[in-house]
Amino acid sequence: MSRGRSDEDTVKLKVQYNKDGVQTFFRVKRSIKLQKLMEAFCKKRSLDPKSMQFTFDGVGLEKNKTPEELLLNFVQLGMEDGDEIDALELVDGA
Amino acid sequence: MEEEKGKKGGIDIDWNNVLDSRDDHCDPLERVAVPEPKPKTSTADEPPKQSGMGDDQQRDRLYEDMPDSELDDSIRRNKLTQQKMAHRLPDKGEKLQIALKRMVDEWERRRKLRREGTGTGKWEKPTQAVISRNIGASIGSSEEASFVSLFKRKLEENSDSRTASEYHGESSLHPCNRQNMKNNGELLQKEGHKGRSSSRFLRHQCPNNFYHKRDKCSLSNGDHKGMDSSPYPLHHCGENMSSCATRNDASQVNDLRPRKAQNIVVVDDEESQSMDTTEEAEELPECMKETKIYYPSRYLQQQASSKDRGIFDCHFFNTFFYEKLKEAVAYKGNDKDKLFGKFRRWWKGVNIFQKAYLLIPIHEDVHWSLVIICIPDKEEESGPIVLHLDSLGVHSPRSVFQNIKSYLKEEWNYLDQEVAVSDIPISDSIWNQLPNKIEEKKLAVPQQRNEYDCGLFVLFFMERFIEEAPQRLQRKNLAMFGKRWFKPEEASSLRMKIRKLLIQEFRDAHQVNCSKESSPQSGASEE
Repeated sequence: MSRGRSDEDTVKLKVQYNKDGVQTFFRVKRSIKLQKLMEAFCKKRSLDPKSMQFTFDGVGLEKNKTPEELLLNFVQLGMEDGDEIDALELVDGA
Repeated sequence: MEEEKGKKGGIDIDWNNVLDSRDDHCDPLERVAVPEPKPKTSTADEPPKQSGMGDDQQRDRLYEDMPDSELDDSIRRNKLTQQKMAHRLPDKGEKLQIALKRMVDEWERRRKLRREGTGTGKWEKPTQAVISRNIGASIGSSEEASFVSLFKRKLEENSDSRTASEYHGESSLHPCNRQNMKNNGELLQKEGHKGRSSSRFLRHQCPNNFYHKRDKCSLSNGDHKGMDSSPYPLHHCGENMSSCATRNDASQVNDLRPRKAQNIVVVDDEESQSMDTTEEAEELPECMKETKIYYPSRYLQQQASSKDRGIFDCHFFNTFFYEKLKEAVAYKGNDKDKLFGKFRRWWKGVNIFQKAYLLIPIHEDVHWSLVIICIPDKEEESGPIVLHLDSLGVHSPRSVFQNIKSYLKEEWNYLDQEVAVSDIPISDSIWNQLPNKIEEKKLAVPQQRNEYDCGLFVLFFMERFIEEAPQRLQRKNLAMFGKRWFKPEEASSLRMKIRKLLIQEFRDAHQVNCSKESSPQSGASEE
């Protein structure tokens, strides 16, 4: 993997927190584990990672995957610029 | 496996903590159940007179000759007996205690031997085998067993991947136990659980190598890579299989037990019918506690398919869907279409109007209810029927119906432009004016009698519905519902069922993990 920060290597993703609808933008390497992104988001928004679920089109993200190897319905799609990740706070019910 | 912990990173479970136990007298590591109890020990529920008294000498010899699994079983049983019955015995269980100690000593001796010897791998498998044999026994009823087999079958299928995999990946572990803990506490008090509830010897262990790597094993926490299925937060349906497990959390760290050898051992020897909700108080290891699965799309879907109905007839939306739906239908901006187009990716590849039933869990105001959208038979000459099932009557049916109808209209709008009408099992006359043909019905359903079972009721509504509903709903079928559709306890008992299911899955996953270990194909980052 090259070390440059050209656009080819990176992807711009936005993460939307479901409680306030605020979007946070990240530019990440395509080969970085999504876990890093999740952690960064939680840190930035002061959220407990354990209480969050991250989904892409309603499908949970695997934190060991990278944007380029993202699987959706067993098809490798990869993430593209502008793709939106939902950061969903887990909820309880009674 | 130890290394694995480091490599995986990112999970905040301190395995040392999680896996060790605080109460010394009850060593959980080797609690392996054997299906066929020795006649003299009989079942755990029987009085100790039959199970553990007398002939100490004989027993001592017995222990030495006893196979590991049997010894473990014996220890376990004796503990069980002791904890349950000791206070009733004339000697207050003294003899039992002695016998138990001997067994534990023997066990310790063997453990040392093993540690000094060739490592744990060797006996891991036999033990595991014992566990697997035990599955049937501990689960008990054949119904459960078949359920398990069905579940397995489902795991082998990759059909309808969309619905079966609403939720990939586990990622973050879910700590949402506080509330549940509270609930459990209440539960315990309410049920007046006696001293018995403190018999925590029914400890379930989770080994480090619990990180299984098999694709098909989905019910797990942690970051196994190959996971292709759909763990999903179950506890935010108001359940928590194991909230009491926190007891384990604060335990000693420097224990010498061979963690590697720990098996997930579930010892539910008690009759399954004797299980009540209080048994939820049994402890589970941290790693099980924080599992996320999406029960509907995994287990219920499979149940649906087992009824020769074809799994394509039901579509289970995940628990976050309704929130997204509300957002999408409430949006008033100019680019509403664009937003809806994006929202549509949540059910990509699925034509919702072709399904017989769409199930949507509703979460609002700290409560869960359920919407079922029924697409009737073509002959019915009816539009979609939206059913709302609420076990507490908290959610306003009106706003729910409004949102769901808006959603259906939007989707109809979208499809009307895109899709050939012939693909849709709705008669043309209805289809052409579908937005006006959507019926709504608030169903009278059994009501929960507590303030924590809403999630279970939603799941149970789903389960019962797909069990009983016909291929396509007809209006007359609506009679099957009502306040007396089922007993509230039935819904509540689902907690135990799901719990067992999870444990089973963990166990299976662990087994697979063990067997995979010997094969090199499992990938670089595993060891």
